[in-house]
Amino acid sequence: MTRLLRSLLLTLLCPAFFGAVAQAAEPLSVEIVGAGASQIPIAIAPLSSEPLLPEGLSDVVAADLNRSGLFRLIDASAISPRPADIAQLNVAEWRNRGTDAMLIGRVNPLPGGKWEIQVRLVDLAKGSQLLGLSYSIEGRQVRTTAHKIADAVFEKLTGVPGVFSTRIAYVTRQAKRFELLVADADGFNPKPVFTSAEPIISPRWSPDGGRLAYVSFERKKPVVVVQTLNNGQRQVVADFRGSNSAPAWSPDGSRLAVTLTRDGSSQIYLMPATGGVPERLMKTSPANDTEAMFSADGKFIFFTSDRGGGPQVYRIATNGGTAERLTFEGDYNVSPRPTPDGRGFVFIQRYAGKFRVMVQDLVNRQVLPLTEGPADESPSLAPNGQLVLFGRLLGGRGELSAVSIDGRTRQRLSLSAGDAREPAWGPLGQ
Amino acid sequence: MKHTITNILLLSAVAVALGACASKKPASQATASIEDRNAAAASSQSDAGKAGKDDVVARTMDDDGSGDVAGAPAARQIFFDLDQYTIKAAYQPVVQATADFLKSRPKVKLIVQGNTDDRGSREYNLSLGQKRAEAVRKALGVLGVADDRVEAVSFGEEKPMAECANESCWSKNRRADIVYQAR
Repeated sequence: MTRLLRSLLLTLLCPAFFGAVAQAAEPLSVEIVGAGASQIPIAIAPLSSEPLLPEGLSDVVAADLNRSGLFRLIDASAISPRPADIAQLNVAEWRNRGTDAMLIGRVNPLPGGKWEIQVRLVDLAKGSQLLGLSYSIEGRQVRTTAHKIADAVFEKLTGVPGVFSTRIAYVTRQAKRFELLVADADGFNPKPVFTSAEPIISPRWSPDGGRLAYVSFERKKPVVVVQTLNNGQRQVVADFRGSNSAPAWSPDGSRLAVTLTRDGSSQIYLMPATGGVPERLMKTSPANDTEAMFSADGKFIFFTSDRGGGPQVYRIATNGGTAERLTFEGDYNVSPRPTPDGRGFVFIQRYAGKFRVMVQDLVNRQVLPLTEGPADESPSLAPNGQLVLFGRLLGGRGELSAVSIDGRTRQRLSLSAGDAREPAWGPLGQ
Repeated sequence: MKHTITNILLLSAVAVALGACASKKPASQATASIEDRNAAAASSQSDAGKAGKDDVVARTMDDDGSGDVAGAPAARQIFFDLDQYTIKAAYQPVVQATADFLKSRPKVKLIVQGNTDDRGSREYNLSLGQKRAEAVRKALGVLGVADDRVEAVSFGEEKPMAECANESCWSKNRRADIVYQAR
């Protein structure tokens, strides 16, 4: 679907929403520029009585699943009458249209301006129910509920949790105004978190999704800030002599790894996430170390170091020990992000002058390019490990893109105005 | 810089007014956080000199530390080659002049801000900018400037002088900026 058409469609579907956010920030729009090889054919039928809802629900579910690249949508928008139960569904007809699974359901008005949403995921080969879900919601929860349904369908059919209910953080620049925003994973509902005349980089979600750590240049040098999202409270947790940057949360949310230059060169330190005394991770590191990132189990810290000459990816046990070099191809490998399953890591490689997103398997050491560049940076893995969100520079302007972990599906998320960079994908279950 | 100029102009106006009153007392209006800037103010603000050469002293307020220090050397940028962090011989005079000025003005401190071009990782570029700033800080140390008077920080690729897509432009962004602080 083209961006224009999609924007138009969304505008028609939810004018109130667009009006509400117009002043705050432009929503991201999503365009899929490729598709996976094997896709599950699925039909998402409009729910019975769905027009009673203040905004569309089934189309949001369909858009989510389509965006994942793992599904091929069979159009069921014109189905009549709309089946509320399996008994009302012509299973054979839809099976003959090549659909493996179908989502059907109904909307029931409840007292007090609420609604009951019932959905059933049908296995068309067997004509049986794979999933039955019921929600009692208010009008403002339609999109949220649609994302939850999409998550459940995704997990049922792929075996992997969906990430449609998660949020992303990113930074926009418009002229000399920098803004840190949080939006739904589909780019909707962008909310400014912090605005500054100075640059903002490296936003990182706390594991519980309640706080963002980031680097702000508001004190005419980089300092590390932790901001609580529900009350906006900001705390500068690292403002030591020199530069303070590259925050990373420990998996339990209690500690931050940060890069400080108080000892001269860039070094990684661990400190309480609420501020306090930093302790240097590697007492004898010979060079510049930065871009720390904890492994999902917290046992390792991945980082970038130029101890071997050019920048390469290393890891070290969080308790100390000897750093192990992980990348060997090329002279510029940076920004490691361990995958949630602990099997590998995503990083940025300079190859023939182009910066591209790569993935490396820690078990078999296989290295695969996910993008071609030329100026891709700041990768961030979805919490289910299936997608990598990253920033790319195109003609001096930044935009956000996502690529599936197998490199087969690409999406572009572009702001209608300004310049977006530094994406960070939030955790599950926010 | 702009603020400093505004302050100088404002205070010059005060000086003019006071001069017109033919006061014989030195102006003491200027408030707590002031630094005597006679020589510099006179050279750059001829109005102040004309208004009360002998009896009225124009003073400029200290700025917030991000602005200028009068009399400081004008050359405040050191450019680096690609992936290089050593100060080229051509910029040694800049370092020398900076060190000489700091020795003559014991209260002045400075921040050295390292910068890089915009290619590659933002965080890694911060560490590269830091290396450039550190190189300048160490060079000043060799010339006898006390360690606690110079803070090396990095802006990485975040504060380009020019937005670019070619080498002649990128080279403008591979630099260290010297920023004086009167505080």
